[in-house]
Amino acid sequence: MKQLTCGQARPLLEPFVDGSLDGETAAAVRAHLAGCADCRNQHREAVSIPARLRALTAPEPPPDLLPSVMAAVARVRRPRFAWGPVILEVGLCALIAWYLSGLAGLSTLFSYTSGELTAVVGWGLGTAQLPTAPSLDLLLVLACLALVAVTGYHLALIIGGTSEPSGRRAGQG
Amino acid sequence: MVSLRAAALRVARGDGGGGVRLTPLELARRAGGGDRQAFEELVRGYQRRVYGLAYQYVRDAGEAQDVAQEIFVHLYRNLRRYDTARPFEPWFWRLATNVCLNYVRRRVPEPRDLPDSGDATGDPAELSGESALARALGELDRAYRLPLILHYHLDMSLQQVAQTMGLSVAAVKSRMHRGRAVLRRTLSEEAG
Repeated sequence: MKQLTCGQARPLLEPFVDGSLDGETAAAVRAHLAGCADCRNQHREAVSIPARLRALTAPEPPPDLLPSVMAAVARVRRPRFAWGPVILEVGLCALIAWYLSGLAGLSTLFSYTSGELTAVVGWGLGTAQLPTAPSLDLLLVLACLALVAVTGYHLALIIGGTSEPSGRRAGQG
Repeated sequence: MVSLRAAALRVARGDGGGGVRLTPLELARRAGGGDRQAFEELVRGYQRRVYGLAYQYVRDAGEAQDVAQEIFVHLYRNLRRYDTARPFEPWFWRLATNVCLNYVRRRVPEPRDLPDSGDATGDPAELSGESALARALGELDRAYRLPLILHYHLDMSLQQVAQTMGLSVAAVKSRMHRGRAVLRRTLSEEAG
């Protein structure tokens, strides 16, 4: 049977207490304990710790824990995936992309915009008449405004769904 | 007055209620679908152990209530994401211990967290021994502290602790042995 030093035996005390060591190692630990008072003290401590851990107390939960939790969750809006806004956002993006239709569309938009701005400045100076906006530009503006509104609503849903009451104060309001 | 529906949802908690007892898994499934009464029963069934877990982390009755409430609010938020094909308890205790760890991380460190005076009864020597153990446990590396709390304080089996921590049973045993060895050394040094 192998002889153990204190340094070798002590890390084996917990598995020894749990009966997790193989027979030969357990016998070596037992033999070491028989001849070493310090390690016997450590062994006594090792034996007592599981029971003492089980006996660690915690106070009873306060009676207002349940009501405070229910009050807190009543204010929680669960995060949800809002399909409605997403469908609208995709539709509006598609409409705007279709209208702009790539670089050619952008260039057309730029020429329209600059022409209209020039006309508005001319109208302000009294040298030109107030331009009438093409109906498609109005459609684009309305689509952009709608996209901003829907996105804002969607963001509000997401932010509302992730804000979280915390602490006892959240449950006491 | 307790409604009939609430009585029917009474979770198995040994109160002799006599209603239809639903498992925590079934309560979690219903609560995930928006059933507040099922959620309330879930909280009722777990509040003692959740509060006990929180208390083992913060050693302060008031803070433990904050942490327990935070755990249940997190549970409420996350129930819809819970896969009911998997066991409820490991998922729930993982969530609960994560909330505890995050709370302790955010917490302003105090010189020494002492247990409340009213948390235990017994003779003074026993109380001081328990305080020393509780303090040593609180100072233990979290990798070792968590399995000890789950197994000894929450009465989880080694298998459940392993599932909760995402480790093998052998790894959990090893961590528990090391944790207990650290506690033993700390207590011996304090006593000596």
